[in-house]
Amino acid sequence: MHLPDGFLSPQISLPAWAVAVPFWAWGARRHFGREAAESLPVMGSLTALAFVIQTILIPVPGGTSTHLTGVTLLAILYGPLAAMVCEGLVLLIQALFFGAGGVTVLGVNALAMGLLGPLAGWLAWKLLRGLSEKAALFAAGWLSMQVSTLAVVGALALQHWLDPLYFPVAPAVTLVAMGVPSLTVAGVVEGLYAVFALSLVRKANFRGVEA
Amino acid sequence: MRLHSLVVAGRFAVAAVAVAAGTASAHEILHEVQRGKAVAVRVYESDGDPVAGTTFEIFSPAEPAKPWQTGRTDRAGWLAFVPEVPGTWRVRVIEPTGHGLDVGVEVAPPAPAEKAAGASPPAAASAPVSSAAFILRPLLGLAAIGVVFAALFLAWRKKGPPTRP
Repeated sequence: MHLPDGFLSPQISLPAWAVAVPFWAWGARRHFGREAAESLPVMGSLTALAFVIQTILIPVPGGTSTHLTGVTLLAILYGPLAAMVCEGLVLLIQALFFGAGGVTVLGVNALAMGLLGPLAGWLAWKLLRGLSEKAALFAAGWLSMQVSTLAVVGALALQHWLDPLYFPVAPAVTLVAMGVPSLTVAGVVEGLYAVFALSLVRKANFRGVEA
Repeated sequence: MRLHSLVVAGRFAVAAVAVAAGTASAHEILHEVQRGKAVAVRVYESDGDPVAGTTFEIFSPAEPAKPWQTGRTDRAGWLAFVPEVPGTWRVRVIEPTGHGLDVGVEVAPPAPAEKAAGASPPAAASAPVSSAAFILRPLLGLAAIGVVFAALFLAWRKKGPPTRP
């Protein structure tokens, strides 16, 4: 799901940066100020955990692989903007030091995996937690993965339509290649991770955790 | 009469040879083998698994807007091309999932002796990532995240809680 440099043209990557930067600034101001000092250790731990689980590749039939994002829990505990900032940091480190995802496309990757997906998960959590907390957590993780995947597919499809030289794969092929693993494997594991990780965080009774 | 027959037969023979030669040159595919001319690139996941059977495109520095070569990686994740000019050759490996690679491979100009022998420009070799690096690199990332959050936490602790008006 980490788009590398060269797959998207400046027509997409530059506007995505322009949209992402204000969200990063807003999120940093809101969730990383002095009043948030108590929650920084837990936020940092969950960000580190998200970084680790994004490096674990889950093989799927067809010779490719998928992975989790792990930031839905940050959105549930601290809000979607906090998830956007933390995922932005994860993506920046991955792009600079590991070649996983690109710097020019960081805005697209961050909006897809850091904002749109976690925002959908957070909304699902808010809507469903009254019915069943565990089901709401699972749905949040699963939905977050689907929305992130759809956002990346949308960006690649738009690029194919604008200039296929950047991304020559047809949108229908991309949708199937990304959508099927996301629906059947990554989304399910992401949902289970959200349930499991929140129960651990609560058992640990960390300071600065409110959800 | 006999001489005439021989001349006619000779003309037929010449024509047959000419047609046969022409036909052969039109249909026969020949080959030559030259070792050490190609640049080979292996593509693999961060866990070491090869990126097999995946579409790749190669762009020459002389014509960067049009693929010089397209194909699929082999089952060990290798692709190869024969550079005709020195410079940065762009190699793109494109998975339909949006994962992939877009890198420049430096091809140096051939040395004079190699040029005289018709050798292609050599490419700089790069070492594969070792198995230890697979473990150390995530630790480096974790350390970077830890440093960012720890620095922020300590800075805010030092300044104390925000003063409410």
